[in-house]
Amino acid sequence: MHAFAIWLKGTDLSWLVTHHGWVWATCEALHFIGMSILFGCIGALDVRMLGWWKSPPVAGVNALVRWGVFGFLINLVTGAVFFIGEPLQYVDNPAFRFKMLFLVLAGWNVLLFYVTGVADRIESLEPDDDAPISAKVFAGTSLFLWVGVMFFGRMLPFLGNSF
Amino acid sequence: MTIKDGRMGIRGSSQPQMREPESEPAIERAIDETIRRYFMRHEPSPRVYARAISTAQQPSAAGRDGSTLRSWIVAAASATAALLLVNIALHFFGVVAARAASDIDGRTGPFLLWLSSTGLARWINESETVFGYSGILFLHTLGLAMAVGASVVVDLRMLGAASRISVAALLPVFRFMWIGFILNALSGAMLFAADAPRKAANPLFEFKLVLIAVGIAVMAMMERSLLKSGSGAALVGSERRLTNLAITSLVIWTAAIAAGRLVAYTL
Repeated sequence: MHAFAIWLKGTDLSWLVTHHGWVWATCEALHFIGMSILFGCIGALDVRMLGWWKSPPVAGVNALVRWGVFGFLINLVTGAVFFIGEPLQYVDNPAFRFKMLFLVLAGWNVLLFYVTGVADRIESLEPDDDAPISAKVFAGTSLFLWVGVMFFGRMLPFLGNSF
Repeated sequence: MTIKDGRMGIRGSSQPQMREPESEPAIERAIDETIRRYFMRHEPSPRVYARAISTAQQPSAAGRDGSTLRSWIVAAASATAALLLVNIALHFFGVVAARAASDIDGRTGPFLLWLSSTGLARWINESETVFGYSGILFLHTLGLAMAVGASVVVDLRMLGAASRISVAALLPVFRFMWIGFILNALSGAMLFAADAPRKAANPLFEFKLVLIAVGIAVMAMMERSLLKSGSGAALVGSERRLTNLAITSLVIWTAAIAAGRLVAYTL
């Protein structure tokens, strides 16, 4: 991993990211915008399932999930830019490792949500219908994991040495 | 709230307009009381209510299809422009901010000096635990995600996405936005206290505050608009206004986030 990080740091692309202040700053802004889109749209489905926002039908809220994926893609790209720019400040950072762990768990949670058929079961819920407990568990787990991703992302400069 | 309005309407219409024979108002009152009791017991369920609203909205939603694409293009282009503008401002303000930073001591007023000397400010700066600066910064990020995330959900719906969510069903989303905003006002005040003289000297920080004020005002206008229209039918007239507010909101939040991020990098 270290060898890869050192090689990455030596590439022209890495140089490009760190030697133009606006690249890093723009990606930072985009990373937070993507975060808000992701958290808003995925969180909307989570709070619908948890029963904190029961007025819309689940199928209506489901249409927001693709926008959450859009926010995630923004963050995947901008996050990759940070990693390419300064790989060495991430590879040894415990906060970064926890962030990646929570990210993988969140992805696993999404996968299980669709594979186990819970997503299909709640698709037909009308306004004011209560979601089954299995859906609530997935929703609570999702919120916890995404807030965790956010927490360890924010802790990158404090637990580790990144900026 | 329309349900309540309807109930009030029934009660209101029972007021006799002019003097009538004694018996008739009494009968009317009795009938009215029966109707009122009926509505008290059999209030239409939100599901029935939401269906009625989404049915009422169908024609207008169909009529807007042509302008939806244009709204999206305008929203995306404006948000990108906002992001670029703020980043250009970085280079301009960065110079100003650096100059201001070198002159902080000479220009710090008594209030800022007092603020940065308070126990709270010193504790935030010196605490090594997660409850200190880093934890407050995390809460500030969480509040941002809640406030802007909730706004994005409302804006997306106004621009035509997720049209199966009735507009009236959007109102509870504003609650999440306000919680996020209050969280950020409190955590932001603490972060400001911890670094008052430098933050106050940074023009980008003032720019950010103005953007947030405008962003919150836009969202409050949208909420008021939705509260007032209530039912789908009344919404048709204000559709264009709501679309414009949604685009403005996306642009302002994009710029506010960019400005906020840049504050961390200019000083």
